Amino acid sequence: MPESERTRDRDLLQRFRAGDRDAFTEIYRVHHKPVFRFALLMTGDSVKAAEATQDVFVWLIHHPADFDPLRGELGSFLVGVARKQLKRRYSEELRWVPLDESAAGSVDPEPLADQEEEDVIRLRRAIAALPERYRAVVVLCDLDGKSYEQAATVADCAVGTVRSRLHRARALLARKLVGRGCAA
Amino acid sequence: MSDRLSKAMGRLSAESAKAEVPPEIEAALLGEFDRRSRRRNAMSWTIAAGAIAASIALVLSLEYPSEVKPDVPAAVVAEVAPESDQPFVPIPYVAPLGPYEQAQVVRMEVPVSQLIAAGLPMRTTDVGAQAEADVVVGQDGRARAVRLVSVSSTE
Repeated sequence: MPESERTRDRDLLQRFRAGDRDAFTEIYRVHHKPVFRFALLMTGDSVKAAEATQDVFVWLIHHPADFDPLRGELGSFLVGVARKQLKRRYSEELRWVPLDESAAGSVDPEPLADQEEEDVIRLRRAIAALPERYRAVVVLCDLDGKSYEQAATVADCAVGTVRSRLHRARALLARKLVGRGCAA
Repeated sequence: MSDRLSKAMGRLSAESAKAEVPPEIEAALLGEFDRRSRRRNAMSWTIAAGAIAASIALVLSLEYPSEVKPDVPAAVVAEVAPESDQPFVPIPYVAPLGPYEQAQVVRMEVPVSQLIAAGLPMRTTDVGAQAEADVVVGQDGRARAVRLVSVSSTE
């Protein structure tokens, strides 16, 4: 991240903490897209992603002093908040399983005319089925183009852990897609 | 990664980059920001008003002790020596003296309950008692600090 952007974020954060509405608007406009994109790739659902994005910035409004600029970038911090919100939301959703979930979950999509489109749909489902810790690193590194260091900040773990989780996640994805032609 | 898998990753990544957050979320967040700002302002005003009211009440009680002084019985007991060597205790919620501000020390009778309210450690349990105290008064007439000289018990 360029130093100018760090300085801009520090300045915006300082003004936001002092109650400046425009500074908060600017923070939202600069950082909402990466947060939304992460949530969208994690959930595969644009409505849930929008809700998670809103939750992250509501959290920021109520915890303006919780981010320490010395410990990293504001963008990565907010994506990390999104990850924690999604984890909590997911664990809450686990308690409410629809009655027809078992039948709905096992249905394969109809084959599509466009093979590449079909691959994308299958990949999205395979990613959604990954355990959260693997899904997060695939989304951050393979889909969002984050460095291992940035992913480690978001996932709150060591860089080595990101590498090993990514390796394991790719293997799991390949295994899920074997037999469907995508990973072959 | 296989070629098809990485292609699928690329397409999924490109699709997600195009997705837009609904515009009403920004409006909802600004509404939340405004609500929080109003709550914070209201809380600040409440605290400030409380502090001002407390300091006014304290200053009035220290400056006009005769108005609130109950009748003291003839039999009084001195508990502390007339010339006190106790330190001055700053009165809470009052701005401290400026570096060039002149101050006066005024000896006055003050209800013990007011000294307790000002943060002085009092050993007496007789809250109706009167105390003789040295009060530091700033140029604006406000009491800034107080020290105990003696306590006259009603018991």
